[in-house]
Amino acid sequence: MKAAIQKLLEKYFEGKTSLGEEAELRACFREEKVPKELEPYQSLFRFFEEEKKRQLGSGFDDQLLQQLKKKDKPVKIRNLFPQAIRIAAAIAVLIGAFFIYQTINKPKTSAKRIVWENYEIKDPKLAFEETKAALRLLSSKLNGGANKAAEEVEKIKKVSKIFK
Amino acid sequence: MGLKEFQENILPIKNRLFRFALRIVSEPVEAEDVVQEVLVKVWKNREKLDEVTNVEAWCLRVTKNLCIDKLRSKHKRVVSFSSESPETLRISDKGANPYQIASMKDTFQYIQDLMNRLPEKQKAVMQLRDIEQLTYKEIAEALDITLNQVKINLFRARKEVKDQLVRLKFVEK
Repeated sequence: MKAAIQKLLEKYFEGKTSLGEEAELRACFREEKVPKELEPYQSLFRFFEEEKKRQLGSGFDDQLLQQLKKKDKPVKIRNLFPQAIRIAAAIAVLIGAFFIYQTINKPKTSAKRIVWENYEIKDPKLAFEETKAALRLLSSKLNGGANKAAEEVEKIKKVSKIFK
Repeated sequence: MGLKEFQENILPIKNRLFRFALRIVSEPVEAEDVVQEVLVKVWKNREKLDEVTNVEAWCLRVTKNLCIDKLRSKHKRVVSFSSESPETLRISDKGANPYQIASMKDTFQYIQDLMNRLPEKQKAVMQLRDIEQLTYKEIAEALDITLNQVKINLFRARKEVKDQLVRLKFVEK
C-alpha cells in the first residue's frame, strides 16, 4: 500500500498523473493514519480539499440578480424630462446665436462720400477773402486764450505777495 | 437567455471563479467584486454566448484579465503571466529555522503562502488542476495557453512546492 502511494506520488510530482489517479491520492490522504514520511503530502492534499470548500457569501446571488434587473430596466419617461429641457435650452441658444450672428454680419450702409469739389471756391479773389476771414477767426480765439492766461498769472502774483 | 436560465447555467460557476480570482488578488472582497463584474459581463453579452464554445473557460479568462487589471490599478507588482522564477519562500531569509517553521500549527497557511509565491501562470495552473480538478484541455482554454504549457507549468509548480517542503525537512529527499 505504502509503495503504491509512493509510486503514485512520484508520478504526481512529475506531472504525469491523470485526474483519476489524483482523486486516488486525495482519497488515500483523507485517512487519519498515514505513514509518517507521507504526512507532509497529507497536509498538501488536505489543503487542496479545504481550498475547494471556499465559497462566496450567501447574499451574493440576490445582490447580483438585483444588479442585473436594474441593467435591464427600461428608461422611464419621467427621467427623459430633464433631458428634454436641456435639449430645448441648447436649441434656443443655437437659434439666438444664429440671430446675433445675422445682426453682426448685416451689411452696414456705407457713409456717403463727401464731394469736396462741390464746395470748392473757384474764384481766386473770393477764395483769398474767405481764407483771411478764417484766419482772423482763429487769431481772435487764440488771443482770447492768451488774455485769459495773462489774467490768471496776475492773480497768482497777487496771492504770492500776500504769503511773502 | 433569460434570468432563470442564467441562474441555472451560469451562476453555479461563481465559486470556481471566486476561488480563482482569490488566488490572484488574495483579497476576498476584491475577488467578489471581480466575480460580480464577470457575471454582469456575461449577462450583457448573453446574446453572443452561442458563439462561445466553452462559457466557463471564457469566464475564467475574463476573471484572470480583470484580476490583473485590478492589481495594476492598485500599483501592485504584477508578475506577468509567464513561467519565470518564483518568489520562493526562503526560510533562512525569514530568520526562522526549519524546526520553528515545522512546529507551526498552520501548515495550511504555509502551503497557501507557498502557492501564492509561485509565478502567476504556475499558480493559476496549479489552482485549476489541483483544486478545481479541470482537465489539461480546460485549463489551456481558460488561460489561453497550449497543452504543453499547461503540463510544463504544472510540473514546475508541483516541483517547487515539493522542494520547499523538502527544505523544511518535512520530507526526506
